[in-house]
Amino acid sequence: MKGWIRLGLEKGIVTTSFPREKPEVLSPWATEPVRIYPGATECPTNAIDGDMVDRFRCIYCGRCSSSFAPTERLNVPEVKAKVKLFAKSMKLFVIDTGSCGGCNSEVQQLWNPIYDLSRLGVFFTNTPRHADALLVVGILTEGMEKPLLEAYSAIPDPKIVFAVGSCSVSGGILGKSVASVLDCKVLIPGCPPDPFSIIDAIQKSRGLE
Amino acid sequence: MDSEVLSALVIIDGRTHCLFRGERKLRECGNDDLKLHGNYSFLMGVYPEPAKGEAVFNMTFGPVAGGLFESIKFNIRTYGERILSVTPEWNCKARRITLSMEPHDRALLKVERINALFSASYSSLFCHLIEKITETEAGYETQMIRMIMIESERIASHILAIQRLAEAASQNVAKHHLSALRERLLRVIASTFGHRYIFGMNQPGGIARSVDLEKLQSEVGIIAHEFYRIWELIKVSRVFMDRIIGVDRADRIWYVGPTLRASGHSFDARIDGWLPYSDFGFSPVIGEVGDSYARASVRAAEILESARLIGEMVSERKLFVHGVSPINFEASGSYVDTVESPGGELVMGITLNEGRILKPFIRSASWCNLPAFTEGIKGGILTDFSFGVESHGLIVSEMGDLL
Repeated sequence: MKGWIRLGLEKGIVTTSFPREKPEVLSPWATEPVRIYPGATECPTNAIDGDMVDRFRCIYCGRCSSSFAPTERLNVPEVKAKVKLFAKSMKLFVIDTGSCGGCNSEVQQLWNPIYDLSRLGVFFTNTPRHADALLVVGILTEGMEKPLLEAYSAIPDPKIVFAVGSCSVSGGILGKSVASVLDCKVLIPGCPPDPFSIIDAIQKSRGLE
Repeated sequence: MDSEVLSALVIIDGRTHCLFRGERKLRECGNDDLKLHGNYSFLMGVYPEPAKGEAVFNMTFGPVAGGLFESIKFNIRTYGERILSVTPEWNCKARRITLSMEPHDRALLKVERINALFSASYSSLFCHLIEKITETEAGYETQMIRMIMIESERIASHILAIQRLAEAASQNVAKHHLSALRERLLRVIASTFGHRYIFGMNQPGGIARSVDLEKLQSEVGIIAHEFYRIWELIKVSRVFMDRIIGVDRADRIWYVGPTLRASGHSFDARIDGWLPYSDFGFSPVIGEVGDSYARASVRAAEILESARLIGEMVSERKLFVHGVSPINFEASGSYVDTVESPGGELVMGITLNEGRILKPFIRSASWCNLPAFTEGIKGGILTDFSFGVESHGLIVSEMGDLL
């Protein structure tokens, strides 16, 4: 017991100051690529059109690095609806419909002492009945379509669906997007999105800019 | 002895082919001969009939449940407390990942995304297969970088497995310390390799980005030291130890990775493999008993061993400039090989024809070790379920095959 207390005191406060301040560090190739040199570039998901990058189709693979470089800034989510009712407290239910494990891992990291999402009044819940929002990770697989729709219908209104990562937003390179069957109000680009980008999208969906 | 272990089963053109441990060539086999191997039906994805009896009922866990990292369904047969049998439905979130007829560069993107947590292992092995078929020399430096990436993801993955085991045993202080430690490692991996899960680094014939490993070397040393402190503190907790000692014993020669080595077997694909681990004095960590505690102990010791390996490798050279050897894509052929992913031995095979992939297959570590959980947990009580499942470090996304 004393050992844990000593270890905790030695560590001090490790929690990020984000969103009050800028993120301390971002994973470079989890952020949007921007053109730095001219020239034709092949993109495996056809996300590049001239100088523009479709951040929702992009899988952040870095194949365009001869002409593009990551911005190392937060990915801008698309927030189609804001529910200010959740500004004080929001409960999230996470569902994996066909992920590689990357987005699952990043979502899990949100509850470590560094990101500590609970300090912002956002919590995990183990049942959709208690949830305000659904966080969907992965492509939509055949076996998970029914459980997804059941979980969605079990969440009381008002509710928000977050599509987290390229797979659930656009299908990436592996399959069908979740957005094709559910009205996802918040789209978070990235493969996988950096935890800071997920926090940013959650805050925006609650009307907290 | 190892050559008698059935390692993988592959159906090609309607015929069953098998691979034995230590071999690099598929053999066409009759099913009758193979059925003598204890893992034959498990490799085919067939599990024993659920337990039946008076007052026995089915309890379903998953596919969507708060305690699960990924979507998987378990049918637990019980009469109220004791687990009589567990039948997994691993294919709830099965993705149909098609590599056939894909060009190698696009296939690599898909291979990286089979299992993000073991991405460096998957991409390194895939690139190695392409290099072997096309007779491309990747160079010693490339192999060094690949080993460093694989060992970095091994540390991250093992910390996650022990963190989840601590969480299952209600050791939340330990869980949060481990989770913060893993975040620190993911950040240094991102700053070194450009991505937290090492996507986009590997290419057939070389590496895609230049890397400076100095920070990784110093940070990994600190992380290993801090992990050791946390691990020593966890072991003092009677609550933690009582919950995992003796739980879910697994002792079969055909398991892989920490699950196998925790029961006293020494097999590790890093020994005599295609990556030059022997140049750095690698020796596998071996446990005994084969219970949940033994698996966690093996993982803990492997974290320290991986940190030592990274330290020694980086001492030889810190700076690597990206470069790719030219590849002859007119070459055709087939190749099968293995790599020791964090979960255990990963087997992959491909055929290459004019730069396009044909007949791909994988046999993942989790595919081999899922029966270790379902067989080992039999006779335990329902409370043991989460300790058992977390101690194997199973990753659902890598279960199944490629198209």
